[in-house]
Amino acid sequence: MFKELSQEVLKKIEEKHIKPKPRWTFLLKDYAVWILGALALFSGGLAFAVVIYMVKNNDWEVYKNINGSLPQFVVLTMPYFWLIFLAVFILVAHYNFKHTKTGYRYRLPAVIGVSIVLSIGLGGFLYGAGVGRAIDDVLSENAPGFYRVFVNRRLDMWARPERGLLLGLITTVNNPQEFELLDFERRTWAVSAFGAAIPPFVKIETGGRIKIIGEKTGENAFHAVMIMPVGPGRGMMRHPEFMHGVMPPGPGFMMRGDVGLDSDIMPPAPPLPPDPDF
Amino acid sequence: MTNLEQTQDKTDEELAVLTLENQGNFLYLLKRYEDKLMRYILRISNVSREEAEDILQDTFIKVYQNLNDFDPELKFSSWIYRITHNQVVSHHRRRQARPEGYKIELSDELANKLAADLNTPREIDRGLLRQGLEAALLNIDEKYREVIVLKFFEGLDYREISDILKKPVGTIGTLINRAKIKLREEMKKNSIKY
Repeated sequence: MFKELSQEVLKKIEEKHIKPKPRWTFLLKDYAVWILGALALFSGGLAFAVVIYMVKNNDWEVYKNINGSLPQFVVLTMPYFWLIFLAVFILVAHYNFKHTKTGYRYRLPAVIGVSIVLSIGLGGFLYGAGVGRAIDDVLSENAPGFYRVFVNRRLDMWARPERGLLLGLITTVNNPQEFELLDFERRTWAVSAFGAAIPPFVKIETGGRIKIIGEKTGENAFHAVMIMPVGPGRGMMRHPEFMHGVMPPGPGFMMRGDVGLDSDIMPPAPPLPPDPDF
Repeated sequence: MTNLEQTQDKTDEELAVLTLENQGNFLYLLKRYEDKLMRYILRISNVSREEAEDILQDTFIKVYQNLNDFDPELKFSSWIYRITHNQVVSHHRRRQARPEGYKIELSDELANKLAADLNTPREIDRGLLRQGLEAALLNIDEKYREVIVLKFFEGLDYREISDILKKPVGTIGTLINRAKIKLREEMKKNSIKY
């Protein structure tokens, strides 16, 4: 019977003209799996570069002004979007590795661990090369609505002048201590910065993007105590809609004790020179 | 010297290469594995002999079609067992049936080997022991039965089982240990005392 089975198999192969699949089809599949895995790792590295950039520039030194509790501040400001992005691509890298010829030989924690270490290493390198900041700039400039709602909600924490927090674009500079600032609500503020702490790398000039801690002193007047560069999300203030119209709505971020923002729509702002980039 | 004699001293891996040059050489590979794989299919599935032959036929055709995918880092036997395992699984999926109600037959030699590994006492009646083991093997989970079959019936080592089931060697060790525990539990249920 077995002799018949063997002969039958050979007969079937001949009759149906069955041929071994060419070697290149298998090689192509193997390479595709490895390349997709490498791309996933690279994407994870990109995500981690942005995570480092956002965490490092998370206003740690002034968290008490933004939110009294450090744990709450951490929970509110973590870059969840990029962390989820990172996790997804680590899983994709793991999936691809498991589907290489010998990937099954390694245990899940080992593969995930190596993927995380490689993503972190690559992410650190890319962050050092300025890629994290570049990605954040490009995304916040080109998709500000999405960015404001899903990627970085912390910008809205700075849109609370009643709480002494203000963020925006310098539109007119009378002198380094007196200038005008356009905020996300297209409201122009007269800012006085006499005696304010300003890091040397922050220049008060038209087109500059800054965050201010201070005090609202009038309907459209603000006194600055500390001035800082915007950091993550600064690309939003390069978006044409911010420069010449109304920004897409944000998540409506409100903290306990906030009284809300005025919703006056201002006329389009005049064109500004290129951002000097702090 | 006949073709059969000429191929006798060839390894499976060499025969696989020769098959790519001349399809006729595939027959010698088939002959080496048809008995082993038929027994393997019958041990891990609930199919009739006729169905097992169909599965084996499909397996051999798949092996032939995928000869260029054979990884020389593996043993050819691991590779062909893996394809057989996959064919059995896809056969079950097509039938949407769980492998139940079939019989595993143990030789005295196999029963003794398995019993020794389970630390059963020597004084136990060998006939009873064999029956107990056969019944226990039918009742344990499929994933445990398969590693027992590969380890004790097919006589493969952990690395080979790992390559066939595509699981890490450590996981195979864990599965075999759990399978032994399950077997002991089943035997206790069937009043085979230790």
